[in-house]
Amino acid sequence: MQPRIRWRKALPFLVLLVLGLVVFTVGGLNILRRQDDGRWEAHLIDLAHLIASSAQTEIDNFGESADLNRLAAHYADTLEISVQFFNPEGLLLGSSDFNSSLSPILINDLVERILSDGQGAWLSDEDITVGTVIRGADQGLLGFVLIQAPSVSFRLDLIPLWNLGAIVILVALVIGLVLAMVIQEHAVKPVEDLIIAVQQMRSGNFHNLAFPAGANELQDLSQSLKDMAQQLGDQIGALTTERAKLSAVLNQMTDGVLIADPEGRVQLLNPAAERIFQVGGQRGLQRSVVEVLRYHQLVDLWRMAREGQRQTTMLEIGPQHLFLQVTGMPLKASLKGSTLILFQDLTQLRRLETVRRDFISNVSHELRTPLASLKALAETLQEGALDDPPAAQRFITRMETEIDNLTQLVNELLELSRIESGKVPLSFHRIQPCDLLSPAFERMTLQVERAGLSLMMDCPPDLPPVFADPDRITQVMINLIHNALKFTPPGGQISLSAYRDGDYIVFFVKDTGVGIPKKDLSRIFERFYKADRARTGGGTGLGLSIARHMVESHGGFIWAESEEAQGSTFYFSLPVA
Amino acid sequence: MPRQTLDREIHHLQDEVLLLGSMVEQAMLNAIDALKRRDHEAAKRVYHGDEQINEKRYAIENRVLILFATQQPIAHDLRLLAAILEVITELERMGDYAKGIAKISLKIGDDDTPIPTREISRMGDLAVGMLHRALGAFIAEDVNMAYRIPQDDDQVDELYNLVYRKNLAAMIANPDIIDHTNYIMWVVHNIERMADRVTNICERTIFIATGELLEIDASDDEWDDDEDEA
Repeated sequence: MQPRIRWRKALPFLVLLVLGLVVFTVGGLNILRRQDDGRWEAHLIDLAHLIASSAQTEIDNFGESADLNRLAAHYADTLEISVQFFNPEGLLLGSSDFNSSLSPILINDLVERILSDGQGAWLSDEDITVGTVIRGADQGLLGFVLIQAPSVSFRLDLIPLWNLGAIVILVALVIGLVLAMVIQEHAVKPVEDLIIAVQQMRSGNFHNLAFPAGANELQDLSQSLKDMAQQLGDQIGALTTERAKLSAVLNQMTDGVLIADPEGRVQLLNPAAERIFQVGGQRGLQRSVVEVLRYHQLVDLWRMAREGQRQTTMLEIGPQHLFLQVTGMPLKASLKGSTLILFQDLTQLRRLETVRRDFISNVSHELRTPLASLKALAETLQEGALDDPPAAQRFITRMETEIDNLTQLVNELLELSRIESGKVPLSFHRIQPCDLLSPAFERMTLQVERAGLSLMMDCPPDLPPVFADPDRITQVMINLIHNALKFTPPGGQISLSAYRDGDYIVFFVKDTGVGIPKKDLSRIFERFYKADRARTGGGTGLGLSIARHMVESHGGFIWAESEEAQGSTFYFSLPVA
Repeated sequence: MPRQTLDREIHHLQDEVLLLGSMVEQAMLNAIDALKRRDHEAAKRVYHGDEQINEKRYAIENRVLILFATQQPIAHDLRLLAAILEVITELERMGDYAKGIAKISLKIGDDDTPIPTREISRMGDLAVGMLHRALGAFIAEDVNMAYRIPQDDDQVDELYNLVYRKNLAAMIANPDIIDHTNYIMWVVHNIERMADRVTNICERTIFIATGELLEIDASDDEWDDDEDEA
C-alpha cells in the first residue's frame, strides 16, 4: 500500500483532534472571560450602589446646592473610574471627566434599563459601564449614577492563555502524528502484510511468504496462517506430484482407460483408449459414451457397470478386428455413480497365438505325410512284396527317401528353434564376399546340373569384406539355391552375384523360374509358408525361414522380388566390415 | 418441451443411430466370418439377429415421429431428424444384406468348394470401415470426411470385379460349381451394395450441415438401387 494512502487513514483523526482542542480552548477561554466579566460587573454595580448612596446623602444634606461634581471627581480620582450623576429626566447633575465610547442610543437604552430595573451594565471591548438609581430616604427617585471603567484596568489578560492553548494544540498534533506512525507500524502494517501474504496464497504461492513478525494476537494469527500455508503448500505439492505420476502412468500405459459420469459423458480417456477408438486428443471428452465407444457390445458393458455390475468380457470389434479384453466396473467414493472401463488390446497376442496354432498344425501335417507313406510302404512289404526282391528293393529305397525327408524336417526344425532362441553361436570373421559365394557355388553345381539347369557365379573382386560366419552364410546361399532349383523348370538358369549398396553388401540368387505371386511375396519367409503347395513337391517350408533368421542375426536384411512366369530374385544384405 | 429437452432427445437419438450402426457392422462382420469358417450356428445367429436391428430401427423412427409431432423442429433440427429417418432405413437395409449373407452361408452348408475368403473378408472390412467412419461423420457433421469416404468405394468395386472374374473363370472350368459360385456372387454383391449405401449416409451428412441435397458420384453404380435382397 502507498504510504500516502496509509496516512490518509490517520488524517481525519488528527483533524478531529486539533478541531476538538481548538473548540475546547476557545470555548474555555470565552467562559473564563465571561465569568471574569460577571464578577467585575457585580463589583462595579456594588461600587455604583455605594456611590449612589453617597450621592443620596449629599442630595439629602444639601438639596439643590449639593456639589455632585466634586463627589464625582472624588470617586473618579480614588477609584480611577469615571462617574456621572443624572436627575431622573436625564439632566447631568455632576460628572468627572467622562469620556464615554458609548453611542447616545446605547446610553439611552442603558438609562431605560436602569430606570426600570434599578441597575444595569454595558460591556464593550474598551470599557465597562454600569449604572444604578439614586433613591431618597423616602424611596423617591432622585436620579441615577453611571460609572465607567476601562477594560484594560481590570479585564483578564487572555493572550498568555491563547499562546498556551496554541502550544498545547501543536504538541497534541505532534504527539498525534507520532502515535499515528507508531500505530501504523505496529498495528496497521502487520495487518496489511498479512493481507498481502494471504493474497499471494490465493495466487498459489505458499512458500517464502512475508508474514509480519511481532508478539501479539496478530502474531498468533499470522503464525497459524503461516503453518496453514506451509501445510497447504506441501499438500498441493504432494497432490501435484501424485497427479503427475498418475497421468504419466495413464499416458504411457498400453491399456485403454475410460471414465464416464452417471449421465454417460466421457470424463477421462487416456491416449491408449484414444488410439483404440480413433478419437483424436481431447475430442472424446464430454462426448457421450456411445459416441466414443461406437460398439453396442461395449455400450452394453458400460450400462451394466453403471447398474453396479463389474464385468469382464473378450470381444472382437470392427473392421480392424481388434481383439479386446474389456472390464467395466462402477466407481465408488468420490466418483460415485461414475464408471471405469479398461481395455486391453490383445490383438497382437491373439495373432501370435494363431501363428503358434498354425505352426503346430503345419508341423503335424508335414510329419504326417512321410509317416503315412512309410506306413503304406511297410504294409505293402508285409502283404507280400517282400517275396518280390526287386520290388522290395524299390520300396526300401522309397522308404529311405521318406526317412531322409523326415530327418531333414526334424533337423531343420531343431535348427530353426535353436536359431530362434539364439542358441546358435556365430563365429564372425572378416571375409571377402566372393569367398562366401564360391563354397555354395561349388557344393551346388553338380546338383543343379543334374536337374538340367545351369548355375553361374559372377562376383566383382573389388568388394570390401564383410563380417560374417562363413558356414552360416554358405548355408543361407545353399538354401536359396535349393529354393531356386525347386521352382525353375529344366533349361533354366540360376545366377549368384553380389554388389555394394552403401554400408551393405547385397548378395542375390536369381532364377528363371515360375515366380511368386505378389500377394505371397511378403509371407514366403514365414515358417511352412508355401506359395503354391501343388508345385513345391519336396521341401520342408523351413529353408527360407532359417535363411531369414540367419541373415537377421548377422544384422542384415532379406527380401525377394519376383515376376510371375519370369523368375524370382532373392536378396540378402550383410554389413560391410 | 423446452429447447434443452429437444437437444437431449436429439443427442439420445444420435446415440441410438450409432448403436444401430454398430449392430449392423457387427452383423456384417459376423456373417462374413460365419461364411469363412462355415459356422452354421453363427450364421443362424446373424440371420435371427436381424429382427433386433429391425426393431431398433422402428423404435428410432417412432421417437423421431413423436419429436416431429410435439416439437415442430425447424432448420437444422428438422434436417437432422429427417436425415436420421433416412439413415436408419439405409442401416436396416444393410442389416438385410448381412442377413442375406448368413442365409447364403446356410445354403452353401458343408460344400467345401473353395471360397475366395480373402477377397470377401477384405471387402467386408472395407465396407464396414466405411460405414463406421460415415456414421462418425454423420454424428459429428463432418462434411470433409463425408466427401472423402465414398472414394473408398472404388476399392470395394475393384475387389468385386476381381471376384467376379475369378468366379466366371471357375464356372467355365467346372460347370458343377455354378450353383456355389452364384451364391458367392450374391455375397460379394451384398457387400458391394452395402458400400454403395454408405454413400447415401454421406450425402445425408452433407445435407444436415449445408442443407444441400446432392448426389456424390459413386464411380461404379451400375446396379439398380432396390433390386436385390438375397
